[in-house]
Amino acid sequence: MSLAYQAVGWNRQKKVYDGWLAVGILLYLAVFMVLGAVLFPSITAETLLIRGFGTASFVLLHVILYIGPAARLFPRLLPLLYNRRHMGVSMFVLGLAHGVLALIQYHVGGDQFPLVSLLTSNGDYASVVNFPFQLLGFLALGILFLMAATSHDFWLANLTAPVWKALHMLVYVAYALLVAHVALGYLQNHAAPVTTALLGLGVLGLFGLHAAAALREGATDKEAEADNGWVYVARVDEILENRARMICAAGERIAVFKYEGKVSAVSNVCQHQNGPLGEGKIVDGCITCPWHGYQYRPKDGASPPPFTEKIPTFRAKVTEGKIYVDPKPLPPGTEVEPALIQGEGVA
Amino acid sequence: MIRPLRKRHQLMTFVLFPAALVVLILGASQQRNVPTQSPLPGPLQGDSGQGTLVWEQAVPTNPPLTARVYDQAAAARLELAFEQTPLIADGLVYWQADGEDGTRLLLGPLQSGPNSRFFLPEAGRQQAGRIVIHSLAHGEAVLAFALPQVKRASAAGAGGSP
Repeated sequence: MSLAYQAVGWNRQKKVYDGWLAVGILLYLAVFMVLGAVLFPSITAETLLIRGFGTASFVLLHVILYIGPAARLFPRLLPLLYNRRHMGVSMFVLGLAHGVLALIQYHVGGDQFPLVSLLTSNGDYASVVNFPFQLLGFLALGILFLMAATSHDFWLANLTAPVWKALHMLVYVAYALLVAHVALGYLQNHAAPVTTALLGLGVLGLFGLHAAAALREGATDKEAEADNGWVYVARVDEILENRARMICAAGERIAVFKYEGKVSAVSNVCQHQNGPLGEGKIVDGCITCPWHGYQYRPKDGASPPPFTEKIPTFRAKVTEGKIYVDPKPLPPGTEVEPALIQGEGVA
Repeated sequence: MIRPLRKRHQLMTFVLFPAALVVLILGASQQRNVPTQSPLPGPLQGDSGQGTLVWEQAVPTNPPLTARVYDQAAAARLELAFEQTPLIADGLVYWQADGEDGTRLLLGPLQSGPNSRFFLPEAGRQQAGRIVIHSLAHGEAVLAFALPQVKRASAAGAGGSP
């Protein structure tokens, strides 16, 4: 949880995560360089570096985009989501190294400024085989720079989570640009059936995984109807202890938690990155976001001191073993007495 | 995420992933026919200057080029000697027969230094033609000059020139 800004709020998990990330990147680059030098002895070191950095960045982008929907479908993968922003910044740095080296290799040495040369040397936009593919990579790198530069919690807090998330959704535009960059660039100059097949599998896999996650999300987003101002949630025994059931009412999701013989309802949206609180669990008496561990007290939706985040709460009641929620949100941080399961009272 | 963002997220993924797939299929289907490296007759490396000079000509280009053909026991050798390294990053060297057919035979890629050497195919010795340097990136010939029928060393005389 945020209290004060610092460059990186290091903890053991982040160090382990970043350590594995660094090892993975270095290992990939080493294997790529050695295999490249052995299989293609005529290739220059500069070209190998350009391709090594470029492919490492693109592979990492695939991993980043796979993690989101995969963690929704398979919660055991949630730890991968925890420090994904560092993975994103690493991916941008690799892409930048690829772009700068390519700019030096192909656009320095002429009579124009390299960036001007990049933007103006090929105007064959109507052609597939001669399309100025480098421009696509340049645009994608611009988007990734914007994302890397705003990845810190400082920007997340000041832009607000919805704006920040909307900005970072541009990663899909960057991904499409990069697929086009490879398809209209590298694949036009190299007979590369394996690369084509791998890229096709990568795109299809991402599409399939996102579609599967979206189908599951769609079921949760079915709007629940209120009866006399109360919305039916579930039977008490249908919710596991310290877990929640999510419903959609009045246009937004509500997470209804069962714990210690009580029921509390809060907004499903975490204040940090709008993570799905209803997919988290209660740890040490607090609702814990599955994405980054932000915590809220179930009865008032406020983070425990010294933290200051607050989320809206909802009234809940238990009648004849059935849980109901009043879909009208209460102001963030409003204390609501939990509904007692045995007493079947109204909160 | 809040509901409007979830909907935008779904819209973006359902539009952009298929769009990326379409571009990939388009790019793969339109792939130009690039000769791969393996079937290329590799250029001769180093100073394999054995053999008898049977033809030599200065080609007026920038930088100036001298083309020579040496006759060797097994095959003829074409040597392209520029005065400086030419600014042709991706030059492919072809021999092209005279006449309407004009079939091109790939001799090999232009080397990065000033000198490049290639085996000359038998057809290049038996009939007149031309040497063409083709830039793959620009999709056009950047240099061409005539190569007459080359006599064998025994006919031309040792060290002779046309």
